[in-house]
Amino acid sequence: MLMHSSASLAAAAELNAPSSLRAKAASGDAAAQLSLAMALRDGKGAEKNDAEAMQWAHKAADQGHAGAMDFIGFAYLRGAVVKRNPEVAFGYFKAAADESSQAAFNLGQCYFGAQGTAQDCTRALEWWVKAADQGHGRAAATAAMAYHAGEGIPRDAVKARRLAERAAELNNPAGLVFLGELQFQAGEFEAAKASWIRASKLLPTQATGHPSQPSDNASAQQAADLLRIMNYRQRKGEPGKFAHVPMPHILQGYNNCGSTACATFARFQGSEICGWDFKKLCPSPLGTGTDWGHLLDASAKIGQKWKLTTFTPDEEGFEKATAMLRSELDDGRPVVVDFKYIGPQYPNGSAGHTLSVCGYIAEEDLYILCNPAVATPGLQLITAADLKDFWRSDHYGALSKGVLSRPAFVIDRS
Amino acid sequence: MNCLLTFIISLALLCGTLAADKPNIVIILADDLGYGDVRCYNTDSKVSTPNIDKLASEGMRFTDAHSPATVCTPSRYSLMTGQMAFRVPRGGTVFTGAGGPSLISPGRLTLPAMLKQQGYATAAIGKWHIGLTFRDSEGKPIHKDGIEAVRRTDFSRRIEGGPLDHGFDHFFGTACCPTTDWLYAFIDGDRIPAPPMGPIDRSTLPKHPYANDCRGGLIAPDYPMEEVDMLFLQKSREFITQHASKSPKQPFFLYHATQAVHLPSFPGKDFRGKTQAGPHGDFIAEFDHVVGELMRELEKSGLADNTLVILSSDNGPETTAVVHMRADHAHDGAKPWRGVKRDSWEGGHRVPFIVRWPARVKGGTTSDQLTCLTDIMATVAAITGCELPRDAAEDSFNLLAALEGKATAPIRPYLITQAFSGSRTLSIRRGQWKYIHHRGSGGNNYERGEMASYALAEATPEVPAQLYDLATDPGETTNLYSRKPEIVRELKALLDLSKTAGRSRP
Repeated sequence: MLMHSSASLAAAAELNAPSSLRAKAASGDAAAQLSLAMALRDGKGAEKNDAEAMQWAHKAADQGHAGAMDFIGFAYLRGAVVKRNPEVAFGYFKAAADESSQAAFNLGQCYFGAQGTAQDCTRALEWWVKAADQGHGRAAATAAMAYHAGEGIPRDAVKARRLAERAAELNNPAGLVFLGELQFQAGEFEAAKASWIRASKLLPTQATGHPSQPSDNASAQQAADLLRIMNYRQRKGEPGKFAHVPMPHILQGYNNCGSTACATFARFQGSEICGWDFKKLCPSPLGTGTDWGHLLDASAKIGQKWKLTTFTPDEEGFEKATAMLRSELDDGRPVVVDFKYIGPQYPNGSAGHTLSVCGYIAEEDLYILCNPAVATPGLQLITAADLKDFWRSDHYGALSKGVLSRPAFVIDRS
Repeated sequence: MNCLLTFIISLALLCGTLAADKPNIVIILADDLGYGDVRCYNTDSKVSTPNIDKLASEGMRFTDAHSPATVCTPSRYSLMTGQMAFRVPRGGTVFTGAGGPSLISPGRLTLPAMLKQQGYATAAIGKWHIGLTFRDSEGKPIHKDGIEAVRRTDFSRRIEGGPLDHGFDHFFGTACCPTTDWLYAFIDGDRIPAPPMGPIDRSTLPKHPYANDCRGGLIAPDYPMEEVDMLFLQKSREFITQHASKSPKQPFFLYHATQAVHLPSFPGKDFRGKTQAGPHGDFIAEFDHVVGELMRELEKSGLADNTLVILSSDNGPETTAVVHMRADHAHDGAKPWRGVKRDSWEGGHRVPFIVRWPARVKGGTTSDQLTCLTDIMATVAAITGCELPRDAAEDSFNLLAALEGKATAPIRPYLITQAFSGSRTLSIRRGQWKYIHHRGSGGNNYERGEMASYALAEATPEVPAQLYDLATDPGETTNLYSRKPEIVRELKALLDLSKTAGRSRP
């Protein structure tokens, strides 16, 4: 996931009266031009006008304003304000990366996710570390998790820990979640708890969250969830009551949820493969969605036996699907599932996402997800109602034949 | 005394024209300027180019003119020699830093050497980029690209194989691209008076997506990264002024080769923000300004009417500039062609080509003659009354009839162009037909990266080469290789014949 956010600049955009901001921008003040661009893009303090937002951002960028170049680069990367063009986005991030930690972070994301350039995970880490040195918390957290998982680069526990601590120093929610997890795994339970409490207080949380909410919100929510399931994770499962199957987690690169979820599923079964390498076993290019048929073929290529099982999208199908889920989880095996999110915020009205289910708590009617899109350990609580709503897909590849169902990969024990 | 005078007069008559009758010649060569960058070639260009447009309105604008190659070094070699670079060893290379040796073999007749023989004063200002020989402290030739080669260079030694060794009396400029790679220092004559003293500090340079191509080389003190073209302009103006005052009777040849508009786009301080098309638009505007100032200098010196001015570009526009300018400013430097710099498609080598010469060329005219930068040498030979020897300008055709509006048929029987991989990526054009002797672009990667979104679906990807009918398909969208085998055979045979013969000029 990539982002462009600068709380201080956004706040400045809101505080500045449009007329004074416009006057300052018109006088050639690059910072004001960027603030005005942000106000116009977000419709905060000014009527939303994407085209004008880009014009002001270009004026600032042409003066060499690194933040403005990041703004434009992000617009091209997302394709929300202008037509998506990762190559142009990459050029802007590269130009701005020395002076903007946000651009350095996004440049790292481009290298990591092969967006607008060839994939170069080593260079991605260099830029994230550089951004972290400049005070970019999310870059520190992202680099820490990549080193921890060995995603595209050799594993390095020392660097992972140091960067996690740096991210936590910078009060980054994902960094605190990850540092807490490292502490938890090291048996430093009080420290873990403290980290997760800090993270959970950075942003509003609910009883359970939406698995696709923005990164910082998702991390705060995950921290709250981790506090809630901390004891469960230290106990042996009780079939029919609760289960938690510890499984590896990898933070996914751009548009690589399917392969990353499958890599963690493979790692659970003893493989060392990382998400990008799993993707490279599939024919589709990096940065594009992966057909579930290709994922299944890839599992065979690494010598594992998985099978696709589907359930109908109705009530009866959900009952059968969750019965299967609980059975697998009680036996200590996670399950890979495909979600479909529907809403106007998604391009074409919906978005798909592949992730795992690794636990449940029966008395609270909750399930535990292991989500590659959020900070390590990736654990999120989800209600049965939400699971029923999200766990359905008709776009997971040729195997789906366009039919809506509840698909899952399970370990084939036949 | 009388005998000597008779001899001199006879020599002048042999060459056909007295020196005093010969026009001055100015070639202004842009770097990576696309056909679509210039308003008089593309009315949708987002950059106003009033000085280039004025030049066209006072001269002849060629619409089917080509650079010999799709990258700097071979194109410049061919301009200087009238010979396609693929015919010589390493003729597809592009030098950087202290790269060399010169592609021009010792003793080969060059355009400036020919003009010098004709009594011209000759000067080259700007980017050379045909290769040089730098030496290390032990006197060994370096001939290597990259920063390490620059570090090894002994800058107290004479630089060999440069403009002074190939017919120019004066040179001020740079070995390769002035602001792109490794060696940021000026050559004055055949020496570098102010050698690089340390690594370039790029933190002080402009940051934008059109500035990413500046490599971390070694730089001379006070080297003006953002004002290089203004300095070149100053040097050319000084040459014109001084020549006009000191040697008014002697014709001159000035070759002015800019950094503009090669990336990184570092427009000078007077041009920043002057267009609505960002830094690269400003850089194009700066080039246009240079053209205008050179013309003003000629007018001021009273030389404009008797000066043949040729403006062109060494190849098509750079990928990054095109991709960004399309997205950022709806400006298309390659318009209306397929392809960009490095490619065999038209966008790689169809370039602006304008000739102003009030004495012989009618203003405001256009010509669709198939033309190439190599043709300048034979044309200038004809204008100055010099007969080209057989072992020179092997791919050069005399365009004088076209310039004078007297050509009633194509002058060139065919045209060969070479893409990024030199002799492995040749194309041949005859009339409406263009045969590309390879698959794909011949240069850029259209399978991934910044050009991927401009890839066209190939209906017959299995065929080994391409044939296009430019009369009906100027965008080179439909490969007729399989449908017109007889034309493929003819053009391939013609290409083979030309390769074997080592020349295209009869």
